[in-house]
Amino acid sequence: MELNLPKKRTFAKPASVGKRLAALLIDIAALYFLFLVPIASIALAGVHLPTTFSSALQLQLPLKAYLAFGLFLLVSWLYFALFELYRRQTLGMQLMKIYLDGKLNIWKTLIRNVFIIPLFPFYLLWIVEPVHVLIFGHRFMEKLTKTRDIEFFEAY
Amino acid sequence: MKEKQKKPSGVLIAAVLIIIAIIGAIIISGIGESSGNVIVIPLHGIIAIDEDSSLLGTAGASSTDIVEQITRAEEDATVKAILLDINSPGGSPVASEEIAHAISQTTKPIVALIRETGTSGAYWAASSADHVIASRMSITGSVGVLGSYLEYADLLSRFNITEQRLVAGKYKDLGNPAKKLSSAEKNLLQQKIDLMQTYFLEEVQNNRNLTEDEVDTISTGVFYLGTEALDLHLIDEIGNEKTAIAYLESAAVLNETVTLKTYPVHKSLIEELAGLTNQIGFSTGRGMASTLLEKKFTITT
Repeated sequence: MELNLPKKRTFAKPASVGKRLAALLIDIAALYFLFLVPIASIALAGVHLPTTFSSALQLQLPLKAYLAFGLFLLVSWLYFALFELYRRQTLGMQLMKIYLDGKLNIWKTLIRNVFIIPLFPFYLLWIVEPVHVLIFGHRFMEKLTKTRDIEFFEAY
Repeated sequence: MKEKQKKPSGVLIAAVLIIIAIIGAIIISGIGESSGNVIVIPLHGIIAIDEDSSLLGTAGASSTDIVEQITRAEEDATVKAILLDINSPGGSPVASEEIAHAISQTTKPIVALIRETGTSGAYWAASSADHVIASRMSITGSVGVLGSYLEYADLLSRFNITEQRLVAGKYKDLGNPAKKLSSAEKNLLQQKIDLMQTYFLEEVQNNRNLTEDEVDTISTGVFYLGTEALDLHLIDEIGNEKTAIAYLESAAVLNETVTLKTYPVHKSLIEELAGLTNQIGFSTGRGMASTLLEKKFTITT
């Protein structure tokens, strides 16, 4: 007997906390292997760096170390901004099936990912963003740029 | 009608960013201080002749590499001194002696900085340096030779496993863990170990100008904290990297500002991945497993 059930439809909802976190970790791993390793190998070859945090505090780091770190931050920021602008997904988001919804331009994608910059007030986002996601279900920067990280699901 | 703009692929975006990163890194590598005047040579991990790195493992201190770096520093006109950065429990006696010998042959000032651990073979190497610095809580000393191994002859017999002994030469399979160690064999091995210990003590005594009483004290093989080692004249100063730099900058040594540098170590992808694993856990497991499975009898300082 035919039940004539309606077809399942695709809906969007804010991406879950777990998926967002997994996507971020995948992106961090990608940044490490794609950018940090080559930058450090080339720029810091022969440069002695302190091997512990305490000795790093005591000794001034060479100029190259700061420049290499700055280059890594710039490339990481561009990674998130360009992938979100042109593909609406970073590698991590692609693997976790998260999509970026909303009207985009380069400024919005740069602002969305300003948490990369380790300067005040941007590093506060490492606290603000997770708390905002846990309370409201989306990032603070999503609200600011009128974009959303979504995932699709099927239902009747 | 407007043509639909083709989106660049993820691969293209990643490729562009990698090119930017590499070009930026090349530019940065040419900026700033072009060279240092003090080479830092790390002596980290278990000392062996050659490095052994696998996907799950971790590399130790290769005497081949370290001797090569010392030789290179000796021939490098821009290098005025060497800083040996030690964090090692020791290892192979031959490898330790190679490093110690290379250090004693250098004409440039060499400072040994013992970090958390600098015992046994690592201390042998450190004792050859012109100046030895350790933290007050560094573990050093342990001037002794170790040749213990697990014997599982009884375990095999419990499972009715018999080893067919086919040897030419009475002591050819000396130290075979699959058979019981006789008292004669044990005495023979002990003689070898005692002889190595004699060589080890002689070297340390010559390097550190120790008195006979001090040699007797350290010959027990016990380890010492930095403060205790200072009292026994095993080290020269309590301190850290800053102390080592201050010593090198002093009028008695270089009398100029010290800039540290290292010789680049080119790592393969496997070695990069190996660096991500837990060093202590794997080394402990591998050490126990290799003792049971591999062979025989190895001697370490």
